[in-house]
Amino acid sequence: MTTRPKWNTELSGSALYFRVIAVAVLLLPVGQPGDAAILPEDRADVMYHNYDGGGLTVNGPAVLVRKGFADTVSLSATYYVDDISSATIDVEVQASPYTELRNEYGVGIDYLYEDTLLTGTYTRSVEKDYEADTYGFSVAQEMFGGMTTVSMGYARGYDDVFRAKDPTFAESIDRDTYSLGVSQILTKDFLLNAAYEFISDEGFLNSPYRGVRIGTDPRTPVNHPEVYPETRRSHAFSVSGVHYLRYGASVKAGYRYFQDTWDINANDVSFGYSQYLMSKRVIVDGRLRYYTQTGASFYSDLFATPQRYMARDKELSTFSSYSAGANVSYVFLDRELGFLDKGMVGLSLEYLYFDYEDFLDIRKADPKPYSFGALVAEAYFSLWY
Amino acid sequence: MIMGLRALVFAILATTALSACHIEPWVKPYERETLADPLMLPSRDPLLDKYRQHVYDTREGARGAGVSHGGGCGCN
Repeated sequence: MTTRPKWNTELSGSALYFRVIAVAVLLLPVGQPGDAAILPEDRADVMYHNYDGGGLTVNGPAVLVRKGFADTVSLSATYYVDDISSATIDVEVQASPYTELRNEYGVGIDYLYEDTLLTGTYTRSVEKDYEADTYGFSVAQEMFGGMTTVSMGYARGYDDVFRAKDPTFAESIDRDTYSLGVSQILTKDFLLNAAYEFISDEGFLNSPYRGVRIGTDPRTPVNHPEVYPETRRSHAFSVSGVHYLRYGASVKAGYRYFQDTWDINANDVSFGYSQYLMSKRVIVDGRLRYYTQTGASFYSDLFATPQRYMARDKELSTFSSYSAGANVSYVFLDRELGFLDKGMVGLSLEYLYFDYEDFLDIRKADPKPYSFGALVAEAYFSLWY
Repeated sequence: MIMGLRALVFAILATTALSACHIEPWVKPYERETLADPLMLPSRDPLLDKYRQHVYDTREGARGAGVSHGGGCGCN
């Protein structure tokens, strides 16, 4: 289930501004000759992923194929599977364990005209109780002799929400996403990236399954379906930098700030280190990430009295998460072989720990704040041609 | 928030106008070898990064402007 929460404000003025942004995108001038905008590389990737933690396992394959034509057009196709088996704390408390399959299909086209890269995408995600179609368009423009790349994008999403074993239930969500990114060369070894994203959702934003607890005695609460606002607007801003070290390594650092009309404020910081080994045949990466957020204004572990909006989704509570991960990749082919240019295999592991402040583990007689750890593993195989 | 949006629109329009200006690059194209190195890419393995972002997005209240966004420098 991929239902995302949303917020409530009146932003008709904002919508106007973002339409102005879209017009500005279309007015971006094409660049000066001689600069070096490029199409994405021709490559094929196959990945198998596995998530295991908090009573949830998700695994499945993913495929990405990309091929360019005439140095001006690149086509891409993706296929992604989530095979889900869920017995999370929510499921244990309110329902029965279940299995589910999510299939995601995507196609894309990139068109390069001088220093301008135009990209169009379409993605469709299908579960038995959720379908999502997303259309996206973006433009990236190099300027100042290739020192700066500005990218802007817009995506429109149409989601349909259903409820298992209830054929009469059918709701929808409309989503607009506006993004702006800047990539700036600062020195011969340092690159700075900044991004801003505004997302607006309207529709049925809560889970059709989850409930809240109402009552003054936590031992005898009354259960009631969640009720969320029908709109949500969010702003996210990130900045990151990557520095190349002369002995064949790089260090990365990133920060993101987030706020929305549901009163969630979030911050996350990440650090990474990458190192070549064995004459660049092996790349080893390590990364750390810390995330923290405040809860939504209508979140409560236990409501004393019924409210207009009520949520008991732990993703909307106050919590922090920590993660540490590592990748190892090996280039098994680094010269032309038939139509192939390069081949690589790799493995990635990441451990995440979630520590909730006001979401209690009510499975226990003396409930304490809930926490859990999860392990994410990815194995992948890539070919360039 | 409206003020912020106005500032953003102004920044975009200013960027659009500035793109027509000629500014001498202080890092010449022939000095960008390390910037084009795979270790400098915002997303070296798009499938992995997309999946990892999906893991975060489905378990956190925040969304958008993931660090993998940013577009890269386009160096070759």
